[in-house]
Amino acid sequence: MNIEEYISSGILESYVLGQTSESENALITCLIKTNPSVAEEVRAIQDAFEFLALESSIQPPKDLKADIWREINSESETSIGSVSDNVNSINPQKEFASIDDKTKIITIQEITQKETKVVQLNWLKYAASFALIILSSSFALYFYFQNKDINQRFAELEKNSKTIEKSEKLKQDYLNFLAHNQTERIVLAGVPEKPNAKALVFWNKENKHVMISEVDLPETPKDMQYQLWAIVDGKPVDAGMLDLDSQGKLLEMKTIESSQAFAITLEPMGGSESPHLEDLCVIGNVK
Amino acid sequence: MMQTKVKISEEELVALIKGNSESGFSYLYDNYSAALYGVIFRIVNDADRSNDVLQDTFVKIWKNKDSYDTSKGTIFTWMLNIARNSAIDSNRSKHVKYKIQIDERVVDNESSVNESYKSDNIGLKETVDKLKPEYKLVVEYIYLQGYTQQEFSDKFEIPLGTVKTRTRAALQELRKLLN
Repeated sequence: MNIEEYISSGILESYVLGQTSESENALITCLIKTNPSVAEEVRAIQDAFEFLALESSIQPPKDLKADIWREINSESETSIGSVSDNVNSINPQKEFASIDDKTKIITIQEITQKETKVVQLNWLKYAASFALIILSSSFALYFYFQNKDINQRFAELEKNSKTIEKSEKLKQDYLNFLAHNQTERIVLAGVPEKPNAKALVFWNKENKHVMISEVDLPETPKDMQYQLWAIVDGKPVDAGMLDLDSQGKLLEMKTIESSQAFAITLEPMGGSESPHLEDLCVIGNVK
Repeated sequence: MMQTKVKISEEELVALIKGNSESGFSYLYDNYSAALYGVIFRIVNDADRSNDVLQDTFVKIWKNKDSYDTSKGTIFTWMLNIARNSAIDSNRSKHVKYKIQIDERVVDNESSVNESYKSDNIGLKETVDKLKPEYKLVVEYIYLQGYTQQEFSDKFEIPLGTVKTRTRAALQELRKLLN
């Protein structure tokens, strides 16, 4: 469904009448911000609707105005109490006990040196054989450790070459993906409040893979993370979380079957089931 | 383009009512109460209960005006939706008592609506009369009485797809007539 079909589906009329669901509202609110034809259409529907209401006016009884103002004032007086209750019930920020760096005290047991009796007899013989044993065992140890080191370094090299091979293959895969004739390039532009935010989404209509790059979004507040959404038949579908340091990286996201638009919102760490569209940052339509 | 009674801009209006003053309320009431009352009366179809619902509507508007967000539509549309929902809620709570009236609101409304057109608004009658009958029905039920497309489809046994198309076409016709 493209944007013209979406407009002509009658959903915007239901939206103006307040008959759309929360998620539909969220989507339309963000389309109004980013798509001038949707904004214009909603405005025109509101105008016609308001015209209808004004022209079907019925004058209420004359004394009702004063009654209503009295009622409003008595309502606001009774609600003062509950407002201050709310203020009081706000939890003070939880204080986290800082973990003291506990220095581990290592007690060193004094080693008492026992006096050894020097055995005089055959001292040289023993000393020589002892030296030989030390020498040979240290050679053995030396070779053992050297061999171990070589094995370790070899394993490391092997691992590295595998990583390189893998990353080369990944690069080739990405290149194939980006150059594929079914890969759409969707520019996500910032909402009016965040004019400099942007991101680039690549979506392959054939194998359904999604990648994101050129991410340029404001730094995330603590415990928040950016989440990518695909707009599928008017409903936002999770397309995966962005890494915290995603600036300038090419990231692979979740696969998406079909989509009319992609958008990024700021969500609590780990993501949300449905987007907080008031924290919408960028959005772009699939052509 | 429309001969609305609104003389100040949307932003000024929002600022005025958020200011919490009696003059803000007075402006709002003088300019919009008749439109809201018209919507309420069509749904409730009872003068006393319409008065209660109008009062309820303004109390809700006043309570929630700080959470009203300009990005979610004009303040007038927002108020109209509050009025319509309050009227529908009132009907639901009086469902048993007013069941007969609600079921027959087609007939009842015809008379009351026509009366009000005669006394207050020749404009709408002329404009709406130019619409095809099926569009007039949609305007009355969906736009003024707040039937959902599904409810309208059930009530008049018209397929939902057709209702969707007509909902849109009716307003487009009306827009053409207004321009």
